Amino acid sequence: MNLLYTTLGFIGIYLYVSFASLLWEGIDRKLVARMQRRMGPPLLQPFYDFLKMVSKESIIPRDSNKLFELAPVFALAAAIALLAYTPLGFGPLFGTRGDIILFIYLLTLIGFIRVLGAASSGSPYAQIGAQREMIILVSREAPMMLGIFTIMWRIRDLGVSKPFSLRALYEHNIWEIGTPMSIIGALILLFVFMAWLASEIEVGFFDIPEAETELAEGTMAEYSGRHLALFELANAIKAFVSASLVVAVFFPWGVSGYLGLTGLPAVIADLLFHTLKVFAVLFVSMSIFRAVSGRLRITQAVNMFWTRLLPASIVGALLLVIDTLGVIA
Amino acid sequence: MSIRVQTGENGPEPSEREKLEREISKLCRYIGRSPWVFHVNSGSCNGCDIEIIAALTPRYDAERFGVKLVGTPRHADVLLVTGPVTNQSLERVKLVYEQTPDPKVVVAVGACPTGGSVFFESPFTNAPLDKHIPVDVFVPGCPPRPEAILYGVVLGLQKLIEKIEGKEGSKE
Repeated sequence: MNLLYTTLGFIGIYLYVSFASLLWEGIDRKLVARMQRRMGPPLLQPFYDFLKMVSKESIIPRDSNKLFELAPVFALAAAIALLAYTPLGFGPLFGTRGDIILFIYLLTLIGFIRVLGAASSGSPYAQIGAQREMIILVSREAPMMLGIFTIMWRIRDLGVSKPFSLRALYEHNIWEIGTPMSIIGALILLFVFMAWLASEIEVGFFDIPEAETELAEGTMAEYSGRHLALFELANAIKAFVSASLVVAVFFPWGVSGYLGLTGLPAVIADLLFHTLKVFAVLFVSMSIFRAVSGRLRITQAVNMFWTRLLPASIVGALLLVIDTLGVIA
Repeated sequence: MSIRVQTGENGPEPSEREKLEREISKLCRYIGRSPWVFHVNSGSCNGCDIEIIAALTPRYDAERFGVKLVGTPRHADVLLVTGPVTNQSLERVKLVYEQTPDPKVVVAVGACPTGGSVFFESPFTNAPLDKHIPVDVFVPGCPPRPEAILYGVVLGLQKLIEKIEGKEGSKE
Protein backbone atom coordinates (compact mmCIF):
# COMPACT_ATOMS: atom_id res chain seq x y z
CA MET A 1 0.00 0.00 0.00
CA ASN A 2 2.81 2.35 0.91
CA LEU A 3 4.54 1.54 -2.36
CA LEU A 4 1.33 2.29 -4.26
CA TYR A 5 1.04 5.77 -2.70
CA THR A 6 4.70 6.47 -3.43
CA THR A 7 4.25 5.47 -7.06
CA LEU A 8 1.14 7.63 -7.41
CA GLY A 9 2.99 10.54 -5.82
CA PHE A 10 5.88 10.00 -8.22
CA ILE A 11 3.57 10.15 -11.25
CA GLY A 12 1.97 13.29 -9.82
CA ILE A 13 5.36 14.90 -9.31
CA TYR A 14 6.38 14.00 -12.86
CA LEU A 15 3.27 15.64 -14.33
CA TYR A 16 3.62 18.69 -12.09
CA VAL A 17 7.31 19.23 -12.83
CA SER A 18 6.80 18.79 -16.60
CA PHE A 19 4.12 21.47 -16.44
CA ALA A 20 6.04 23.81 -14.17
CA SER A 21 9.30 23.52 -16.10
CA LEU A 22 7.64 24.19 -19.47
CA LEU A 23 5.75 27.10 -17.89
CA TRP A 24 9.05 28.49 -16.60
CA GLU A 25 10.42 28.48 -20.16
CA GLY A 26 7.48 30.61 -21.23
CA ILE A 27 7.97 33.00 -18.30
CA ASP A 28 11.68 33.17 -19.09
CA ARG A 29 11.11 34.07 -22.74
CA LYS A 30 8.57 36.70 -21.73
CA LEU A 31 10.88 38.22 -19.11
CA VAL A 32 13.87 38.36 -21.45
CA ALA A 33 11.65 39.96 -24.10
CA ARG A 34 10.49 42.59 -21.61
CA MET A 35 14.12 43.31 -20.68
CA GLN A 36 14.80 43.94 -24.37
CA ARG A 37 11.70 46.19 -24.62
CA ARG A 38 9.76 43.65 -26.67
CA MET A 39 6.31 42.17 -26.17
CA GLY A 40 7.54 38.60 -26.12
CA PRO A 41 5.70 35.36 -26.89
CA PRO A 42 2.63 34.24 -24.92
CA LEU A 43 3.28 32.45 -21.62
CA LEU A 44 2.13 29.12 -23.04
CA GLN A 45 4.51 29.30 -26.02
CA PRO A 46 6.65 26.28 -24.95
CA PHE A 47 3.48 24.14 -24.83
CA TYR A 48 2.58 25.18 -28.39
CA ASP A 49 6.16 24.47 -29.47
CA PHE A 50 6.05 21.07 -27.79
CA LEU A 51 2.71 20.12 -29.40
CA LYS A 52 3.92 21.31 -32.78
CA MET A 53 7.15 19.34 -32.57
CA VAL A 54 5.31 16.19 -31.50
CA SER A 55 3.06 16.38 -34.55
CA LYS A 56 5.76 17.16 -37.10
CA GLU A 57 7.64 14.69 -39.27
CA SER A 58 10.72 13.21 -37.60
CA ILE A 59 13.60 12.72 -40.01
CA ILE A 60 16.18 10.01 -39.29
CA PRO A 61 19.44 10.75 -41.14
CA ARG A 62 20.82 8.01 -43.36
CA ASP A 63 24.21 8.04 -41.62
CA SER A 64 22.81 7.72 -38.12
CA ASN A 65 22.75 4.54 -36.05
CA LYS A 66 20.21 3.05 -33.67
CA LEU A 67 21.29 5.21 -30.71
CA PHE A 68 20.10 8.30 -32.55
CA GLU A 69 16.49 7.23 -32.12
CA LEU A 70 16.96 5.81 -28.63
CA ALA A 71 18.81 8.78 -27.11
CA PRO A 72 15.78 11.07 -26.65
CA VAL A 73 13.88 8.28 -24.90
CA PHE A 74 16.85 7.55 -22.63
CA ALA A 75 17.25 11.26 -21.88
CA LEU A 76 13.64 11.60 -20.80
CA ALA A 77 13.85 8.34 -18.82
CA ALA A 78 16.92 9.64 -16.99
CA ALA A 79 15.11 12.91 -16.29
CA ILE A 80 12.13 11.04 -14.84
CA ALA A 81 14.38 8.81 -12.74
CA LEU A 82 16.11 11.95 -11.52
CA LEU A 83 12.80 13.28 -10.20
CA ALA A 84 12.67 10.43 -7.69
CA TYR A 85 15.85 11.80 -6.10
CA THR A 86 15.09 15.52 -6.37
CA PRO A 87 14.40 17.61 -3.28
CA LEU A 88 11.17 19.48 -4.05
CA GLY A 89 10.45 21.38 -0.86
CA PHE A 90 10.46 18.00 0.93
CA GLY A 91 12.97 15.17 0.96
CA PRO A 92 13.20 13.09 -2.22
CA LEU A 93 10.64 10.29 -2.62
CA PHE A 94 13.10 7.39 -2.86
CA GLY A 95 15.85 9.19 -0.97
CA THR A 96 18.27 7.28 1.19
CA ARG A 97 21.78 7.53 2.62
CA GLY A 98 24.23 8.89 0.05
CA ASP A 99 21.63 9.64 -2.62
CA ILE A 100 23.45 12.87 -3.49
CA ILE A 101 25.94 10.81 -5.52
CA LEU A 102 23.13 9.13 -7.46
CA PHE A 103 21.58 12.55 -8.03
CA ILE A 104 24.76 14.02 -9.49
CA TYR A 105 25.34 11.02 -11.72
CA LEU A 106 21.79 11.03 -13.09
CA LEU A 107 22.10 14.75 -13.79
CA THR A 108 25.35 14.15 -15.67
CA LEU A 109 23.81 11.19 -17.48
CA ILE A 110 21.29 13.44 -19.28
CA GLY A 111 24.14 15.51 -20.71
CA PHE A 112 26.04 12.34 -21.58
CA ILE A 113 23.04 10.91 -23.45
CA ARG A 114 22.77 14.13 -25.45
CA VAL A 115 26.41 13.64 -26.41
CA LEU A 116 25.71 10.02 -27.42
CA GLY A 117 22.72 11.00 -29.54
CA ALA A 118 24.60 13.82 -31.23
CA ALA A 119 27.66 11.67 -31.90
CA SER A 120 25.55 8.96 -33.54
CA SER A 121 23.70 11.36 -35.83
CA GLY A 122 26.54 11.44 -38.35
CA SER A 123 26.46 15.21 -38.71
CA PRO A 124 29.75 17.11 -38.32
CA TYR A 125 27.97 20.03 -36.64
CA ALA A 126 26.42 17.73 -34.07
CA GLN A 127 29.79 16.10 -33.44
CA ILE A 128 31.51 19.44 -32.77
CA GLY A 129 28.62 20.24 -30.43
CA ALA A 130 29.07 16.85 -28.73
CA GLN A 131 32.80 17.46 -28.21
CA ARG A 132 32.10 20.87 -26.67
CA GLU A 133 29.37 19.48 -24.43
CA MET A 134 31.71 16.72 -23.22
CA ILE A 135 34.49 19.19 -22.42
CA ILE A 136 32.22 21.56 -20.52
CA LEU A 137 30.55 18.60 -18.75
CA VAL A 138 33.90 17.54 -17.32
CA SER A 139 34.86 21.08 -16.34
CA ARG A 140 31.71 22.13 -14.56
CA GLU A 141 31.41 19.11 -12.26
CA ALA A 142 34.58 19.70 -10.21
CA PRO A 143 33.70 23.04 -8.49
CA MET A 144 30.10 21.96 -7.89
CA MET A 145 30.99 18.57 -6.42
CA LEU A 146 33.63 20.03 -4.13
CA GLY A 147 31.10 22.57 -2.88
CA ILE A 148 28.26 20.16 -2.31
CA PHE A 149 30.35 17.51 -0.55
CA THR A 150 31.85 20.13 1.76
CA ILE A 151 28.40 21.36 2.69
CA MET A 152 27.14 17.80 3.22
CA TRP A 153 30.15 16.97 5.37
CA ARG A 154 29.75 20.14 7.41
CA ILE A 155 26.06 19.67 8.20
CA ARG A 156 26.68 16.05 9.12
CA ASP A 157 28.39 17.42 12.24
CA LEU A 158 25.18 19.22 13.20
CA GLY A 159 23.56 15.82 13.69
CA VAL A 160 21.40 14.63 10.81
CA SER A 161 19.60 11.28 10.62
CA LYS A 162 21.08 10.13 7.29
CA PRO A 163 24.42 11.74 6.40
CA PHE A 164 25.10 12.66 2.75
CA SER A 165 21.44 12.40 1.80
CA LEU A 166 19.40 15.17 0.20
CA ARG A 167 16.84 14.91 2.99
CA ALA A 168 19.50 16.09 5.44
CA LEU A 169 19.42 19.49 3.74
CA TYR A 170 15.96 20.02 5.17
CA GLU A 171 17.03 19.11 8.70
CA HIS A 172 19.94 21.51 8.98
CA ASN A 173 21.21 24.12 6.57
CA ILE A 174 24.53 25.78 6.03
CA TRP A 175 23.49 29.17 7.44
CA GLU A 176 22.76 27.64 10.85
CA ILE A 177 26.46 27.38 11.71
CA GLY A 178 26.39 31.15 11.98
CA THR A 179 30.09 31.99 12.27
CA PRO A 180 31.24 34.86 9.98
CA MET A 181 33.71 32.55 8.24
CA SER A 182 31.06 30.00 7.36
CA ILE A 183 28.66 32.67 6.09
CA ILE A 184 31.32 34.16 3.78
CA GLY A 185 32.22 30.63 2.64
CA ALA A 186 28.57 29.83 1.95
CA LEU A 187 28.15 33.04 -0.05
CA ILE A 188 31.18 32.17 -2.20
CA LEU A 189 29.79 28.68 -2.76
CA LEU A 190 26.40 30.21 -3.68
CA PHE A 191 28.14 32.18 -6.42
CA VAL A 192 29.89 29.03 -7.67
CA PHE A 193 26.57 27.17 -7.70
CA MET A 194 24.85 29.91 -9.67
CA ALA A 195 27.61 29.76 -12.30
CA TRP A 196 27.32 25.97 -12.35
CA LEU A 197 23.55 26.25 -12.82
CA ALA A 198 23.99 28.62 -15.77
CA SER A 199 26.39 26.17 -17.42
CA GLU A 200 24.14 23.21 -16.65
CA ILE A 201 21.24 24.78 -18.56
CA GLU A 202 23.61 26.29 -21.14
CA VAL A 203 22.64 29.95 -21.20
CA GLY A 204 24.57 33.19 -21.51
CA PHE A 205 28.33 32.55 -21.36
CA PHE A 206 27.81 28.83 -21.60
CA ASP A 207 25.54 28.56 -24.62
CA ILE A 208 28.50 26.85 -26.28
CA PRO A 209 27.41 23.31 -27.31
CA GLU A 210 24.14 24.58 -28.82
CA ALA A 211 25.51 27.70 -30.48
CA GLU A 212 22.73 28.45 -32.99
CA THR A 213 24.66 30.84 -35.17
CA GLU A 214 27.98 29.03 -35.48
CA LEU A 215 27.14 25.34 -35.00
CA ALA A 216 23.59 25.08 -36.40
CA GLU A 217 22.17 24.15 -32.97
CA GLY A 218 25.14 21.90 -32.18
CA THR A 219 24.09 18.72 -30.40
CA MET A 220 20.47 19.11 -31.53
CA ALA A 221 21.41 19.75 -35.18
CA GLU A 222 19.92 16.58 -36.67
CA TYR A 223 16.95 16.11 -34.37
CA SER A 224 13.48 16.99 -35.61
CA GLY A 225 9.86 16.28 -34.78
CA ARG A 226 9.01 14.15 -31.77
CA HIS A 227 12.63 13.21 -31.00
CA LEU A 228 13.41 16.90 -30.58
CA ALA A 229 10.29 17.34 -28.47
CA LEU A 230 11.44 14.61 -26.04
CA PHE A 231 14.84 16.26 -25.74
CA GLU A 232 13.28 19.67 -25.13
CA LEU A 233 11.11 18.24 -22.36
CA ALA A 234 14.09 16.44 -20.80
CA ASN A 235 16.09 19.69 -20.91
CA ALA A 236 13.28 21.69 -19.31
CA ILE A 237 13.00 19.12 -16.49
CA LYS A 238 16.78 19.18 -16.10
CA ALA A 239 16.78 22.96 -15.69
CA PHE A 240 14.09 22.71 -13.00
CA VAL A 241 15.92 19.90 -11.18
CA SER A 242 19.31 21.65 -11.26
CA ALA A 243 17.75 24.78 -9.81
CA SER A 244 16.02 22.60 -7.21
CA LEU A 245 19.42 21.44 -5.99
CA VAL A 246 20.60 25.06 -5.52
CA VAL A 247 17.37 25.92 -3.71
CA ALA A 248 17.61 22.88 -1.44
CA VAL A 249 21.22 23.56 -0.52
CA PHE A 250 20.99 27.31 0.08
CA PHE A 251 17.30 28.18 0.60
CA PRO A 252 15.65 25.08 2.09
CA TRP A 253 13.03 26.86 4.23
CA GLY A 254 9.41 25.78 3.79
CA VAL A 255 6.16 27.56 4.55
CA SER A 256 4.07 24.71 5.98
CA GLY A 257 5.50 25.19 9.48
CA TYR A 258 4.47 28.85 9.56
CA LEU A 259 1.02 28.13 8.16
CA GLY A 260 0.48 25.28 10.61
CA LEU A 261 -0.35 22.71 7.93
CA THR A 262 0.18 18.97 8.20
CA GLY A 263 -0.13 15.95 5.93
CA LEU A 264 -0.93 16.40 2.25
CA PRO A 265 -1.73 20.18 2.37
CA ALA A 266 1.70 20.78 3.91
CA VAL A 267 3.39 18.86 1.08
CA ILE A 268 1.47 20.81 -1.57
CA ALA A 269 2.19 24.18 0.11
CA ASP A 270 5.89 23.34 0.33
CA LEU A 271 5.96 22.19 -3.30
CA LEU A 272 4.36 25.43 -4.52
CA PHE A 273 6.69 27.55 -2.40
CA HIS A 274 9.65 25.50 -3.66
CA THR A 275 8.52 26.16 -7.25
CA LEU A 276 8.49 29.91 -6.50
CA LYS A 277 12.02 29.72 -5.13
CA VAL A 278 13.18 27.72 -8.16
CA PHE A 279 11.72 30.38 -10.45
CA ALA A 280 13.52 33.09 -8.47
CA VAL A 281 16.87 31.26 -8.71
CA LEU A 282 16.36 30.61 -12.42
CA PHE A 283 15.41 34.26 -12.92
CA VAL A 284 18.84 35.35 -11.69
CA SER A 285 20.88 32.55 -13.18
CA MET A 286 19.04 32.14 -16.48
CA SER A 287 16.92 35.14 -17.53
CA ILE A 288 19.13 38.03 -16.38
CA PHE A 289 22.31 36.17 -17.28
CA ARG A 290 20.95 35.35 -20.75
CA ALA A 291 19.77 38.91 -21.36
CA VAL A 292 23.02 40.67 -20.41
CA SER A 293 25.77 38.35 -21.63
CA GLY A 294 27.03 36.78 -24.83
CA ARG A 295 28.65 33.46 -25.56
CA LEU A 296 32.24 32.63 -24.59
CA ARG A 297 34.62 30.55 -26.65
CA ILE A 298 35.01 26.99 -25.38
CA THR A 299 38.61 27.63 -24.27
CA GLN A 300 37.54 30.71 -22.31
CA ALA A 301 34.73 28.81 -20.63
CA VAL A 302 36.93 25.87 -19.63
CA ASN A 303 39.57 28.32 -18.43
CA MET A 304 36.96 30.09 -16.32
CA PHE A 305 35.93 26.85 -14.65
CA TRP A 306 39.41 25.60 -13.82
CA THR A 307 41.17 28.90 -12.97
CA ARG A 308 38.33 30.97 -11.44
CA LEU A 309 35.46 28.83 -10.18
CA LEU A 310 37.46 25.86 -8.87
CA PRO A 311 39.75 28.10 -6.74
CA ALA A 312 36.65 30.00 -5.57
CA SER A 313 35.09 26.69 -4.59
CA ILE A 314 38.27 25.62 -2.74
CA VAL A 315 38.37 28.92 -0.82
CA GLY A 316 34.68 28.61 0.05
CA ALA A 317 35.13 25.03 1.20
CA LEU A 318 38.17 25.96 3.34
CA LEU A 319 36.27 28.83 4.99
CA LEU A 320 33.44 26.43 5.80
CA VAL A 321 35.61 23.78 7.42
CA ILE A 322 38.19 26.07 9.03
CA ASP A 323 36.49 26.21 12.44
CA THR A 324 36.15 22.42 12.62
CA LEU A 325 39.78 21.92 11.62
CA GLY A 326 40.83 23.94 14.68
CA VAL A 327 43.35 26.09 12.85
CA ILE A 328 42.03 29.20 14.53
CA ALA A 329 40.29 29.28 17.87
CA MET B 1 -18.39 16.21 -50.84
CA SER B 2 -19.28 17.72 -54.19
CA ILE B 3 -15.69 18.83 -54.73
CA ARG B 4 -14.45 15.30 -54.26
CA VAL B 5 -16.97 13.89 -56.74
CA GLN B 6 -15.93 16.44 -59.33
CA THR B 7 -12.24 15.79 -59.01
CA GLY B 8 -12.91 12.07 -59.06
CA GLU B 9 -14.92 12.25 -62.30
CA ASN B 10 -13.44 14.73 -64.72
CA GLY B 11 -10.17 16.02 -63.27
CA PRO B 12 -7.14 13.84 -64.01
CA GLU B 13 -7.06 13.04 -60.24
CA PRO B 14 -6.14 15.11 -57.15
CA SER B 15 -2.55 14.04 -57.94
CA GLU B 16 -0.57 11.88 -55.58
CA ARG B 17 1.46 14.83 -54.39
CA GLU B 18 -1.56 16.98 -53.49
CA LYS B 19 -3.05 14.10 -51.51
CA LEU B 20 0.22 13.60 -49.68
CA GLU B 21 0.55 17.30 -48.96
CA ARG B 22 -2.92 17.41 -47.43
CA GLU B 23 -2.20 14.33 -45.35
CA ILE B 24 0.98 15.86 -44.03
CA SER B 25 -0.43 19.29 -43.27
CA LYS B 26 -3.30 17.74 -41.36
CA LEU B 27 -0.77 16.36 -38.91
CA CYS B 28 0.14 19.71 -37.59
CA ARG B 29 -2.38 22.01 -35.95
CA TYR B 30 -0.01 24.06 -33.82
CA ILE B 31 2.35 25.20 -36.56
CA GLY B 32 0.52 28.55 -36.79
CA ARG B 33 1.27 29.15 -33.13
CA SER B 34 4.99 28.48 -33.30
CA PRO B 35 6.40 28.91 -36.79
CA TRP B 36 10.15 28.41 -36.54
CA VAL B 37 12.00 30.13 -39.34
CA PHE B 38 15.14 29.05 -41.13
CA HIS B 39 16.87 31.54 -43.36
CA VAL B 40 18.40 30.22 -46.62
CA ASN B 41 20.77 32.57 -48.37
CA SER B 42 21.16 31.56 -52.02
CA GLY B 43 23.66 34.21 -53.07
CA SER B 44 21.76 37.22 -51.79
CA CYS B 45 23.29 40.70 -51.55
CA ASN B 46 22.42 40.77 -47.81
CA GLY B 47 19.74 43.43 -48.26
CA CYS B 48 16.78 41.11 -47.69
CA ASP B 49 18.69 39.31 -44.94
CA ILE B 50 18.99 42.55 -42.98
CA GLU B 51 15.27 43.16 -43.43
CA ILE B 52 14.54 39.66 -42.07
CA ILE B 53 16.60 40.45 -38.98
CA ALA B 54 14.76 43.79 -38.75
CA ALA B 55 11.49 41.87 -38.47
CA LEU B 56 12.83 40.18 -35.31
CA THR B 57 14.04 43.36 -33.61
CA PRO B 58 12.02 45.08 -30.84
CA ARG B 59 10.24 47.39 -33.29
CA TYR B 60 8.42 44.60 -35.12
CA ASP B 61 9.05 41.77 -32.61
CA ALA B 62 8.01 38.71 -34.58
CA GLU B 63 8.64 36.58 -31.47
CA ARG B 64 5.28 37.65 -30.04
CA PHE B 65 3.69 35.31 -32.60
CA GLY B 66 6.03 32.51 -31.58
CA VAL B 67 8.41 33.05 -34.48
CA LYS B 68 11.92 31.88 -33.69
CA LEU B 69 14.96 32.00 -35.95
CA VAL B 70 16.55 28.55 -35.77
CA GLY B 71 20.00 27.47 -36.89
CA THR B 72 19.22 24.20 -38.67
CA PRO B 73 16.63 23.24 -41.28
CA ARG B 74 15.69 20.19 -39.16
CA HIS B 75 13.94 22.45 -36.66
CA ALA B 76 12.32 24.73 -39.23
CA ASP B 77 8.69 25.12 -40.29
CA VAL B 78 9.15 28.12 -42.57
CA LEU B 79 12.00 28.53 -45.06
CA LEU B 80 12.80 32.11 -45.99
CA VAL B 81 14.82 31.98 -49.23
CA THR B 82 16.69 35.10 -50.35
CA GLY B 83 18.95 35.62 -53.35
CA PRO B 84 18.85 34.75 -57.06
CA VAL B 85 19.73 31.03 -56.57
CA THR B 86 23.23 31.05 -58.01
CA ASN B 87 24.63 27.96 -59.69
CA GLN B 88 26.72 27.13 -56.64
CA SER B 89 23.81 27.40 -54.23
CA LEU B 90 21.20 25.56 -56.33
CA GLU B 91 22.07 22.10 -55.01
CA ARG B 92 22.25 23.43 -51.44
CA VAL B 93 18.83 25.07 -51.65
CA LYS B 94 17.31 21.81 -52.86
CA LEU B 95 19.13 19.91 -50.11
CA VAL B 96 17.92 22.30 -47.40
CA TYR B 97 14.37 21.95 -48.72
CA GLU B 98 14.62 18.17 -48.48
CA GLN B 99 16.14 18.33 -45.00
CA THR B 100 13.19 20.29 -43.62
CA PRO B 101 10.56 18.06 -41.99
CA ASP B 102 6.99 18.26 -43.30
CA PRO B 103 4.70 20.20 -43.11
CA LYS B 104 6.66 23.22 -44.26
CA VAL B 105 6.10 26.61 -45.90
CA VAL B 106 8.53 28.16 -48.36
CA VAL B 107 8.59 31.95 -48.67
CA ALA B 108 10.72 33.57 -51.39
CA VAL B 109 11.84 36.92 -50.01
CA GLY B 110 12.83 39.74 -52.35
CA ALA B 111 12.93 40.43 -56.04
CA CYS B 112 15.79 38.00 -56.77
CA PRO B 113 14.10 34.63 -56.05
CA THR B 114 10.83 36.03 -57.48
CA GLY B 115 12.05 36.93 -60.93
CA GLY B 116 15.80 37.37 -60.97
CA SER B 117 15.84 41.14 -60.42
CA VAL B 118 19.03 42.62 -61.92
CA PHE B 119 20.29 39.08 -62.60
CA PHE B 120 17.40 38.42 -64.99
CA GLU B 121 18.51 35.93 -67.67
CA SER B 122 21.98 35.72 -66.22
CA PRO B 123 23.65 32.38 -67.05
CA PHE B 124 24.92 32.05 -63.49
CA THR B 125 21.64 32.36 -61.60
CA ASN B 126 18.55 30.15 -61.63
CA ALA B 127 15.68 32.44 -60.66
CA PRO B 128 12.73 32.13 -60.28
CA LEU B 129 12.93 29.84 -57.30
CA ASP B 130 9.77 27.87 -58.06
CA LYS B 131 11.47 26.21 -61.03
CA HIS B 132 13.40 24.18 -58.44
CA ILE B 133 11.40 23.84 -55.21
CA PRO B 134 7.69 24.42 -54.49
CA VAL B 135 7.19 28.00 -53.27
CA ASP B 136 4.09 29.05 -51.31
CA VAL B 137 4.49 32.82 -51.17
CA PHE B 138 6.56 35.34 -53.13
CA VAL B 139 7.39 38.60 -51.34
CA PRO B 140 8.58 41.07 -54.01
CA GLY B 141 10.64 44.17 -53.23
CA CYS B 142 14.29 45.11 -53.32
CA PRO B 143 14.46 44.72 -50.39
CA PRO B 144 10.89 44.15 -49.10
CA ARG B 145 9.90 45.96 -45.90
CA PRO B 146 9.82 43.88 -42.69
CA GLU B 147 6.02 44.24 -42.60
CA ALA B 148 5.87 42.65 -46.04
CA ILE B 149 8.01 39.71 -44.88
CA LEU B 150 5.79 39.17 -41.83
CA TYR B 151 2.72 39.39 -44.03
CA GLY B 152 4.26 36.85 -46.40
CA VAL B 153 4.82 34.38 -43.53
CA VAL B 154 1.23 34.89 -42.37
CA LEU B 155 -0.07 34.24 -45.92
CA GLY B 156 2.02 31.07 -46.12
CA LEU B 157 0.64 29.80 -42.81
CA GLN B 158 -2.92 30.66 -43.90
CA LYS B 159 -2.37 28.59 -47.02
CA LEU B 160 -1.26 25.68 -44.85
CA ILE B 161 -4.31 26.02 -42.60
CA GLU B 162 -6.61 26.13 -45.62
CA LYS B 163 -5.08 22.85 -46.72
CA ILE B 164 -5.84 21.36 -43.31
CA GLU B 165 -9.44 22.57 -43.30
CA GLY B 166 -10.00 21.71 -46.96
CA LYS B 167 -9.18 18.12 -46.10
CA GLU B 168 -11.71 18.14 -43.27
CA GLY B 169 -14.36 19.71 -45.55
CA SER B 170 -14.04 16.98 -48.16
CA LYS B 171 -14.32 14.30 -45.49
CA GLU B 172 -17.78 15.37 -44.30
